[in-house]
Amino acid sequence: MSARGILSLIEIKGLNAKIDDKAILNDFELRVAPGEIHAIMGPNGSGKSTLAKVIAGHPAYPVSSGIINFQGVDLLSKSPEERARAGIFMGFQYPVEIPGVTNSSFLRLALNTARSSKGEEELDPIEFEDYLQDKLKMLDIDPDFLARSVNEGFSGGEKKRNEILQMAVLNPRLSILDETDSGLDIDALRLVAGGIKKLSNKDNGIILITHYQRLLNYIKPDFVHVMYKGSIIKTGGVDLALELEDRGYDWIVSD
Amino acid sequence: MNLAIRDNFLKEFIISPTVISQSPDLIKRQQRIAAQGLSYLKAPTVRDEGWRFTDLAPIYDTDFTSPTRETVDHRVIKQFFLPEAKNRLVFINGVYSNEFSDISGSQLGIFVGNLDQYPDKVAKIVEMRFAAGDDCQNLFFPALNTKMVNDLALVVVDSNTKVEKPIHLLHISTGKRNFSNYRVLVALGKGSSASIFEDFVSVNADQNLTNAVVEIAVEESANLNHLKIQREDPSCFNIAYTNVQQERNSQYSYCSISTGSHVDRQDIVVSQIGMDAECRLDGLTFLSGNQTGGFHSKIIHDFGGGTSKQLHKTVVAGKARSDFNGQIHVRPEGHLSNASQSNQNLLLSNKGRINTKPQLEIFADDVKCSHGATVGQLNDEEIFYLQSRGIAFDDARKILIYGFAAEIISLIGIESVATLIREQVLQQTGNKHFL
Amino acid sequence: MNTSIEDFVNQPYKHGFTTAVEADVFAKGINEDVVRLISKKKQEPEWLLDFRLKAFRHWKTLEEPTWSNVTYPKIDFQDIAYFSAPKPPKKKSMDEVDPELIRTFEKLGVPVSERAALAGVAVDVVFDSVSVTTTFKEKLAKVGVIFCSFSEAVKDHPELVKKYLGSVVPYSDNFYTALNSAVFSDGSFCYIPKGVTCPMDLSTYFRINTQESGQFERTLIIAEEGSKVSYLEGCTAPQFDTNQLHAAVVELIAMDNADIKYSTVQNWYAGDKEGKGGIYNFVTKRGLCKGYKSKISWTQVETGSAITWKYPSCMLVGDSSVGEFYSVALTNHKQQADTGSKMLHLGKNTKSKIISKGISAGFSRNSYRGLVKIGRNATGSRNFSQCDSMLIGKENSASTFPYIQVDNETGVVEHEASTSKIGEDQLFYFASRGIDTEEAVSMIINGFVSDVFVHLPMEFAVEAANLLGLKLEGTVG
Repeated sequence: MSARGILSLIEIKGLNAKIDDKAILNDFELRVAPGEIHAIMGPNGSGKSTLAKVIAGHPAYPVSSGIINFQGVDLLSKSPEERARAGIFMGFQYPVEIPGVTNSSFLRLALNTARSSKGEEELDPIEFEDYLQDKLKMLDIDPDFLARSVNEGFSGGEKKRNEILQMAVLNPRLSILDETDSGLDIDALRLVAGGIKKLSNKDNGIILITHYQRLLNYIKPDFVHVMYKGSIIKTGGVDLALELEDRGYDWIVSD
Repeated sequence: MNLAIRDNFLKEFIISPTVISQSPDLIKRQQRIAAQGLSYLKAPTVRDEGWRFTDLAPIYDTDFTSPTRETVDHRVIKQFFLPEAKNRLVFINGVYSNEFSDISGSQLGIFVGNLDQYPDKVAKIVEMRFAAGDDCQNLFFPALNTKMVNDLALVVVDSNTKVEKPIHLLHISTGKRNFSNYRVLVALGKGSSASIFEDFVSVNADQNLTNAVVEIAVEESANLNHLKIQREDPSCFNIAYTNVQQERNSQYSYCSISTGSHVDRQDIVVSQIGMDAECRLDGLTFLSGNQTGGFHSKIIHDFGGGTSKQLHKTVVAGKARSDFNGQIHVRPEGHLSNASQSNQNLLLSNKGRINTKPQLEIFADDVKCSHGATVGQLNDEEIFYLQSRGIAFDDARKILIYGFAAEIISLIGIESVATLIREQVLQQTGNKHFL
Repeated sequence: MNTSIEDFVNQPYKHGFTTAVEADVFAKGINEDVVRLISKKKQEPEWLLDFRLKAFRHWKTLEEPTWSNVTYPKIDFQDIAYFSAPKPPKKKSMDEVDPELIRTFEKLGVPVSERAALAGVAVDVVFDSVSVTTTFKEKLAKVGVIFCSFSEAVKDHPELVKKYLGSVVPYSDNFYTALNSAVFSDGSFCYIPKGVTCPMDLSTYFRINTQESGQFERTLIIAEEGSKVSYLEGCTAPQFDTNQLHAAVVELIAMDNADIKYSTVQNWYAGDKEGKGGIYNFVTKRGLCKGYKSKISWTQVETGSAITWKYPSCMLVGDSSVGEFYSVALTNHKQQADTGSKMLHLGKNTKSKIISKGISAGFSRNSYRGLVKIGRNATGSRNFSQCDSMLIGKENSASTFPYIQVDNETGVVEHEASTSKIGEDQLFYFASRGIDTEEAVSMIINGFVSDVFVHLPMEFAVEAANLLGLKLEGTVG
């Protein structure tokens, strides 16, 4: 990798993770600077989703060696919730349904725990309502969303938009969006991609994990990486994604 | 189980003839029958099929006495009053409290009261309905109740009368090792509707046993909403039997929330004795510490076109034990019955135990019946999802427990009670953020 | 709908003939002398006689169980003959077997003799409690598989029998296991050595022939580490007005990574339309998944017997062991069935699955009764159960009694049950597409049971499907 981004947001070095003795991440390396959008592509089973879960701290994916440095802090020693409060956001490929808990109380709880962990004032329900309305407007999301239980009975598209709403509310420094485009029809894809674009700014970083190039028609990444057998084997620009769309992965993999 | 201890249980109460002689004439005849029956009925133990997983040994090991008249601070009692209710019957250790009851909200066509005074038509209903079902003579605890009570909490609604406000039936258990028998009789005339709220609470109570029987008749096209909360002291014992007779085209909805007492056992039998009756049974049981909770229901579709829908949820923590048994019977005449039942259990501790036995007995072919039971724990992926949004592990668990219970809480029709239960569940799961 | 389903079902029992074979039958009744005589007749070693006597003495202290959802007149256990064997005593090869017997099996469609070879099935035939012949012994012996009658096993492999007899189902387990342990006459024995996959399906055919005898056989299957076997069992009996008692015991033991598949098609005589006669089928079947990743799978198709009372079970002791139960129970006329399974999860990460399909027709009673227990130490264990009932006609019943007990907070149990019927509208839909009632019913039933039938070995699946068709002919109309 180039020497860009001395002030990197996240720096992953020599990361190894195994499940049942099978290596899923293999000396994985990545660096993301503020303001950058990275796309990670690759065939099924290349370890893309595992990467997202490892960064977010999923307990089922223990790291055997390596370093994740997030804004100068060692991420691997932290619990999932500490990582989230520090500004890591993972968009789930399959967002989990939580019956009985409304979206609005869930969002307020998540935001307020993050705020109080940073020593900021918690928002009272009225302040929160105002804060939320702005986000809903920005993302063009129906306020009905808020009264419903988290993801329960949501369509695939609604679930993914709900992830983006959470991202907007929590305002993370680094978002890892795992196959956020999968299972969406063209209209839903446009809405979701539009939301991500609006949330991207010069201070935050976004890692888009995707199997297909089509999401990249809406969001132009600064870097496109190809992941295979647990590590990045090729890095390029948007052109690389187009080439992958044309030629598939075989030509890189067999190199 | 030491059978000798069991057989000695409440011997003096079972044999003693004095209680009946003090009773109003209206109920004496049934009481004598019950007294005779009790000479051979045996108190149930884990050797009896219906009680295999509700161990009553802690009850049989306790030496109970007849309740003496207890005084309770009126400020304490008032905190239990229901703002939405216009009529309220208060019983303390099974004894009617004139002081705390409030029947001023009576409207034409409604009688709410006890056996101190009542109109003739109510007398007729008591004569017809008191201990009318076989169970009140043939099952040990209901028979004991039939024999022991000398008063009733009465709700009688005339035909085509709508009772707008909920009727609050408050039972207060107080004192030490008191054995109280408490009896409720509710009769809804044709086309009438009402809502009752049974509330079991404790004030300075220690190892009291409450033995409650509720008899309900819902006549043709009548509609009853029945909410019950059992939140007695964890040292206490509560045994309750409810019998519902549903006539043609009637509707009966029951929601039972139980968080209290050391041993909590509830039996409910709903008989649909006319066509096209509808019933709904919902329940939530929260058990922790060394609590034992048993919920046994039996819905009998005796005639055609009846429907029933049941959802019962149980949360077990600590060393608690839960025993659910849900029977659905469709008799040969029960054509086109539609019954569904679901029992969902959340087991949070390795010392806890869950027993569940959903049960279908179908004797008619053109019916739709299904039941399901699940036992599981909090889902790791759900916990991780919440953690990934910055919520601590413990809080994530609490939120998910609350979420599990919320479906039942949302069915509570009385707002102040829903709030109360919501707070109690949150308190139990200890999550400040949802208060 | 022109065809009356009622007529269609009421087909006569096709295995209802008796065979005129001279039999050696004991006088009726039971006492210690009878037990000793059975043992002596079979020239058994002392330890086996001891086992029988212990069981008998225990049996005398027990009372008949009454908890199941079946009713029948009290059985007079002194009115049953406890031993009946075809005479003269056993022949050396198939050619020497009484031709009458062979004709019996031909009538039954049992693939004994050389036809068995083509079918690739090794058959042990138990005729009124005594094993008549076992085919394929040599071929099996080459790979070290022992497949013989129980009596032979006692003579030739006493150390194995002694070690495992009663180890899964102790004689004291229940009333009928105690009785069986006292008076069992024969049965099948099967031993699969370490690492061996049994080269063919093993099969036993049971038949009750004598009117007043009871049948008390035992089956014992031991699968050593890494071995695999598929075992089939079929049952028929002639028609008598009286009831015969069948109280069998089946014990299976699976060591590390061993896999036992046990399939039954039970078509004992069910009695006539009025409920007269028929077999009382009171059977105890249990498998012990002793080893790591061991697996026992029960598949049963129960169509016969006046009364069926059986709960093939798995004790999942080995970590990561797997238990399965697939069942179709069909009752018609006045038949009663109370059947299901027990899955006892004791080891870690054990898994079990129960799929039960009950079909009630006529005036019958069909109950599923099951127990799923996740023990205190069975961390990470799972069960899934599905129990569906189908009712045909208005005079029958279907009941479900699933007991679930979970003592471990990582255990996950899911139980689902439903009842349905073959609806007029369904039949009309078929009719409107040109499919007659008979065909429609058969399609609906086949769809209903398909989840179970896929687990039967091929030849058995065909036989079972035919049997269901036969049993249900004329039930819908």
